[in-house]
Amino acid sequence: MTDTEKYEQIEKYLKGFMDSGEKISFEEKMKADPQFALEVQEHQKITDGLQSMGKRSTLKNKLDSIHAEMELKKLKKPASGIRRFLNVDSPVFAVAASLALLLAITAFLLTDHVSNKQTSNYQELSSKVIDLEQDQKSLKIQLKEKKKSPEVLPEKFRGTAFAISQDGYLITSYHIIKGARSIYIENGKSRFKADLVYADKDMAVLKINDSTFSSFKGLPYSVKPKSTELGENVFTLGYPREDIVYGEGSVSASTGYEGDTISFQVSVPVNPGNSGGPLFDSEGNVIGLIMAKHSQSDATAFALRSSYIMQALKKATDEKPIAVNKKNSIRYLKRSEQLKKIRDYVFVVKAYN
Amino acid sequence: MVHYSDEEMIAGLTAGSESALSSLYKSYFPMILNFIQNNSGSYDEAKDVYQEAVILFYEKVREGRLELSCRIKTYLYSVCRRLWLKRLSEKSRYSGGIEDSEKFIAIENEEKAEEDYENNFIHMKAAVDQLGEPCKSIIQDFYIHELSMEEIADKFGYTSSDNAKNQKYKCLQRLKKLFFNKAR
Repeated sequence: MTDTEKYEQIEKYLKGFMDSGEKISFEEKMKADPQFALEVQEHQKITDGLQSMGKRSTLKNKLDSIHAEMELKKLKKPASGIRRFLNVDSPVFAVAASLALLLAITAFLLTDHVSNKQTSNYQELSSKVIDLEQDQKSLKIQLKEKKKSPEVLPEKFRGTAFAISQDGYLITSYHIIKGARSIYIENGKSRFKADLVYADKDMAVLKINDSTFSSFKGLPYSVKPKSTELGENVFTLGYPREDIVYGEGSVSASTGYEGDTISFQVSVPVNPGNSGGPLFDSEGNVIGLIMAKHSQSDATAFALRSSYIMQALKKATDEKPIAVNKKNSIRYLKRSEQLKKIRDYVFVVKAYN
Repeated sequence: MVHYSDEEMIAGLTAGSESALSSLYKSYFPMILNFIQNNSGSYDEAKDVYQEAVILFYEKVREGRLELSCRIKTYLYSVCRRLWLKRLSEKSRYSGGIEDSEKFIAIENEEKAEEDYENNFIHMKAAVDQLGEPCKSIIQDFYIHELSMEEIADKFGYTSSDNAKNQKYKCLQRLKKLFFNKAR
């Protein structure tokens, strides 16, 4: 019996898949051969240990999303009297704030954001925008909101988000919008308010919550949970600056930073602001989500696998499952034509406090 | 958010109710956050410690190992307190005094059993980490993410699921060597 056949038998026994005849003869074998019995025991210990590890990791992910939900609810607490009086949520205020933001953006800093991962070579790619407090004060608005939220974020973050379903679901990086009071997505054509619906590891699912939105009909790319091949040509679209930027490269490794298995490495040039953006294969299928870059190399980036994204999307809603777009209508177009179609569905994502 | 009494909470958690877990988590975090921040900790440290405690608590409940002689609130606080003290002493930030905002119970007698349990985890994780690629991914994909042999063959580029299976068992052998040599 080969080793493989032996292990298959052991696993069959441990899982209880043997019928009583098989089981009896297997147990006799263990009695007769203490070495074999030890092997079975060790095998069980290992598989049990791996399962416990898996359970714990699943549990940790669950707790992270509960935590994200909790933070979000805290930030959505009903406005105090003054806030309501000043009609802070009105469109006029939003326009005023946008103007102030535009002013700030002309002078924003592309500072590196030191991530909480605390590994010196791993750099998340959201760009920080200058604190708006000065401008708000100059607009003579005093928002005396008693902030109960434990984490106060004076900076705003910015990155990229992309649509994945016709009814307004998008994907982006969680670290961009973590703790944000409100989230907006924008591209040359439109600006929509969005809500955080689900977060998993560093991935976040957003849903548009805006009366001016109708649908993402004509979404031209599909999300493909296929495995990536070394050397495969890939490209990305994103907002490391106010205008959309195209980057291309290839799959350089099938694992991510420090051997992480749910991400992989690509040689696409990226910069802060690219986080949360889509990674496409040459046919225009989404195969990954840009997460971070190697801090010492602008042309080494890490993308979260689309197979992981698809699994996470299944858990994202309790009610109707998200109808991820499966149609690819740009497969045979040349690159510049593909981009013309794709860019309408890739947005800047802005996190406000 | 549904409000649970302690008994309902334990029953809900034992049954695997997500709503019970969510309610548990959200109910007691503010108290722990307050405790950690008052004892020179940050928000992220509070989140870390709290999650560690919830995980320990949850696993105990699910596996029927929990002997609760006080309120859940007190239990969680006590576990967090012990975890935080340990962290402080490791950081040598420990000035000797801890400011308590809640009652707590001594759980020292449980420490040894818990330590053994945790050590197993640490050994397993270290052994898996030492595996290197592609073994680490294959093992994790099969035993933890529960991918099928076909999916694994596809992902790693094996020509058949039988080849993938052979590789899996080779990796498992290596893992056994790493794990049991460590423990011996």
